[in-house]
Amino acid sequence: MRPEHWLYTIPLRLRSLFRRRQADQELDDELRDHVEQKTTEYVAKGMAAQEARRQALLEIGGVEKRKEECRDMRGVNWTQDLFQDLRYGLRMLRKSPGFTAVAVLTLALGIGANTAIFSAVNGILLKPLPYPNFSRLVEISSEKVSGSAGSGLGMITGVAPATVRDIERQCPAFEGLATYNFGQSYTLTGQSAPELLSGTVVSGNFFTFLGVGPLLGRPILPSDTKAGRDRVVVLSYRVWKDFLGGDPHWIGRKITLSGKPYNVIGVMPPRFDMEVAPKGGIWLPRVPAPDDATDRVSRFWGTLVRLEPGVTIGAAQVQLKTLSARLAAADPKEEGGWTLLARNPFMTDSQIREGLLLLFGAAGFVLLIACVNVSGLLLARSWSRQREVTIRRALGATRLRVIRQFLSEGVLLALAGGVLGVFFSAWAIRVLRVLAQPYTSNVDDIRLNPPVLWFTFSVSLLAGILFGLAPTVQVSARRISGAVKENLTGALAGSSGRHPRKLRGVLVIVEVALAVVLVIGATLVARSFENLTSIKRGFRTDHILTLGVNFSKPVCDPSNKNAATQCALAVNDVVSHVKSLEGVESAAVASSIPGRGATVGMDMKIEGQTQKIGFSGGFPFSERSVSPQYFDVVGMRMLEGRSFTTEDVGGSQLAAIVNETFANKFLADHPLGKRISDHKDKNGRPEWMTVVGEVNDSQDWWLGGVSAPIPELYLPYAQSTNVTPVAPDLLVRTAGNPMTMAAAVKQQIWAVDKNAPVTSIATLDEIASAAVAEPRFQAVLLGSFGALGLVLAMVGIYGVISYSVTQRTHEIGVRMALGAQPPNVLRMVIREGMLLAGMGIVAGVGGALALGRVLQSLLFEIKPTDPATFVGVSIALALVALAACYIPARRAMRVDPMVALRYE
Amino acid sequence: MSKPSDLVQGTLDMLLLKILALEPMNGFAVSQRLKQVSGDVLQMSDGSLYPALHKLEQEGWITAEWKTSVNGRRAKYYSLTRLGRRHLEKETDNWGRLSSAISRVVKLKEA
Repeated sequence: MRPEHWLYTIPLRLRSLFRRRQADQELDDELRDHVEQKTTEYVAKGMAAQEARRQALLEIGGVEKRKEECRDMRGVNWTQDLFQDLRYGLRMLRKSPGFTAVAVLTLALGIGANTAIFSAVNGILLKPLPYPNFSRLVEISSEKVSGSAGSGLGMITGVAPATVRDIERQCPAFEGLATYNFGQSYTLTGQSAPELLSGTVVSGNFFTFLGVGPLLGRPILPSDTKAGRDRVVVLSYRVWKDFLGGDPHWIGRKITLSGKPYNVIGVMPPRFDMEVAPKGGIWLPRVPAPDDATDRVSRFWGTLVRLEPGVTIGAAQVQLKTLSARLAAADPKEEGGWTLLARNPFMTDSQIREGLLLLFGAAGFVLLIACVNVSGLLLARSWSRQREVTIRRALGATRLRVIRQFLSEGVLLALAGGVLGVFFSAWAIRVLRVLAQPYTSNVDDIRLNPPVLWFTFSVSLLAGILFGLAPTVQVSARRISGAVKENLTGALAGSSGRHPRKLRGVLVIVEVALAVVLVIGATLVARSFENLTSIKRGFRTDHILTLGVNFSKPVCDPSNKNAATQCALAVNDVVSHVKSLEGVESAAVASSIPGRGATVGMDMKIEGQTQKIGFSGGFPFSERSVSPQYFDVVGMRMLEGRSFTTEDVGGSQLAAIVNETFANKFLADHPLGKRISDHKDKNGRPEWMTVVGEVNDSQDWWLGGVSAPIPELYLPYAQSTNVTPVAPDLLVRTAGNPMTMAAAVKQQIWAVDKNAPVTSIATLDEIASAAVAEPRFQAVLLGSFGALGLVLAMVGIYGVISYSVTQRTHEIGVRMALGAQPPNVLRMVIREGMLLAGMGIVAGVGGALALGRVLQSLLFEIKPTDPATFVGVSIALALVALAACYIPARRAMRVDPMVALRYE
Repeated sequence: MSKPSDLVQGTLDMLLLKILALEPMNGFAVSQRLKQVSGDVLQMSDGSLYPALHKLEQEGWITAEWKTSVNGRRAKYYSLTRLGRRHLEKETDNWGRLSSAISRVVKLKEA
């Protein structure tokens, strides 16, 4: 009956709420009516009219009180009370605008910081799956740990076809499977410019497995995987829009990919390509190879499966482990050391995740400091409202009611702070997006969407409740009369002030401790960033334009017998064309741009030494083939010997250049004339290269923080047989802004090879900056939080000391009247403040030591317990606290004893 | 009348409901009728009458209507609702059981 009952009473409750005045009037009428009738009765019994009326009123015992009781009975009071509390709270806040402004601003800063970070967390970490069908997707890969345990050399790669079949048949945990293989490049020609497209070859069921329909046309179907019917392609939205003009009539027409015609059968919707393929790609069907059933070597198939309902990824992993063991037992040579791994394909990189969570924690700290600040402010104010509280209690307000009043004020403040904070965060989010752009693809998701706003609201509410409770320490259950006597006579200082005073002191200590932890963290991260960016690169990055050139087959064909010569000619052609441009100072070509990590050198013998160097031998070095002007373009200098010239071509003596570290490590510091070899000639004898020069070291920034430079070997482009780059990087040194030359350079490239897509156009400066984008993001944000926390803590200390001085004016007056000198007073006040600050700093240092571990993975070349940082920050904060104490202390000094003594 | 305990308060509610079950009336009339029927034994102070009536209204057991009474003035008339009638039946049953139990205990002969 209860629900029906409740439903029945709703109109009643609503009426009481909304037609309050009318309901009140009716209540009034009802009771007065009763009094009238009672009076009439008494008159009828013979009483005098006045006496009758008095009697009737007595019997009802106070109309207002009865009305209140009736209203209580109606039970709508809590909403009315709430509104009343809120209105009252607003009035109180309006009365002290200074306090309100400071409190709201403080909260806005804290809440705004949290909102901004949460929007990043929400956009990057918590982003919902793009399609509901992706919910139980799991990616399976093969992993092998090579070398000795702990060497860290491991490989994660795809799954071989025969193993894929085994997974399908032997693992009941999965209810579907599809494979894909990306990393195939296709050149699109015949449109306005040749373009390089990333192709993903997929199994016939790929699109139906994922359950995402195309925007236009149809997806790849199993029927497309028959030999002869496989020249079809599905385009991503980006490719279709950017390169085919977004024209729907392309469906059914043919495009030329790497020289062959393909039928365009469909276009996928806009965001599809971000999740399961490299950006801007195309999809093609895979024709199964005849040896699929037995092929366990070709481990390059990305394998997606869907978990059966109710099966966890852990259970699936167990099944995969069993399968791996079985395969290894059956064929130890091929399968030994390999295991199958299952993982969630949409997990964010753990590095990014840790970084974001750390920032989230730091923002939380800032908010805590803000809350502590506002708590202190409220405490101070509640002290001066003691009188008000006492009167309310005397009039019959329950403790709960008074506490609720304070809470509502706190919540009001917090919500106001929240609204302002949202505005702050809007600006902060814009900055965040710019900073995060280089290293995350979900930048668009960092914005103020409903989840973020809900977060702001909840945080504001919680914060409001948290510090709204602070002043309620005043509301004790003491006997009213005693409190009334004490407070109404206004003896504020001293005795009854003990509790709040201690509490405020504790708040300051907490605030300072939090600020110390925050600032230490920020300083460590900032110094780490500085270490990162001050690494000597060894080459210049200014005024250099980089482009990726992808020669087409006719111009440079690696399978050609004369590949080296042919490609060298092409390269020279391009270089000379580009150099002819006005505004270009010099140009060169390299297999990869400096700093980006070159080819890993495999096996290398040094004449006269027995040990092999290179990856297999355990002595890593990197290899790069370059054109003659390379070192000039990137500003590296020859330490000994000569650079490459146009004489170093195929057919002449094989030349090589090493860097300083290579010379020191492998060639005993005397590199010139030594000979090394990485391949054998037709007779099986090593073909030797002669070292003709030594160049300075260059620092790879791709490795993000390896401090020791790697040995590097440079070979002339024209002579490289091992590495015939069909897709070299072109580096162009320009007089002015490099990007302005990009279009012209592209034209020159196409003048040599009109079907060569040009990719990755960027200036070296941009690339260098993007490489440290993530550490920069963290350093900037953490630094801002640290600064924010510091300012808030300083304001907090100032507030407490200042208030304390005001409280103790009377006492100070007495002291001075008794002979204390102003400097003594100054010292006394400062000592009080510094004591609190000191305790806070000690607590903060302890906390920072404990929490330092968290920062470990983010710091480059600096320990989380770096003494210099700790000492420096402690001193800085002590000075800040000193400054904060100073002003109120000076005020104390100037107290006129006569005025103070009269101050009550 | 001394402050009613919970037990007695519930009983008073029941009495009010019963009176209103007989015919709809306003608050003043209810208190008069109660005095009359119980032979002056049971009287509710005017102060507790109206809060009790409003509570009953809140619970949905009685409903109120403003009518013009015999002498031309507006008065608030309470009447029992269907929910209230059901509640009254239940409470009457309980009361019957309770009072017979109490009687049985009280009638126990001293040893």
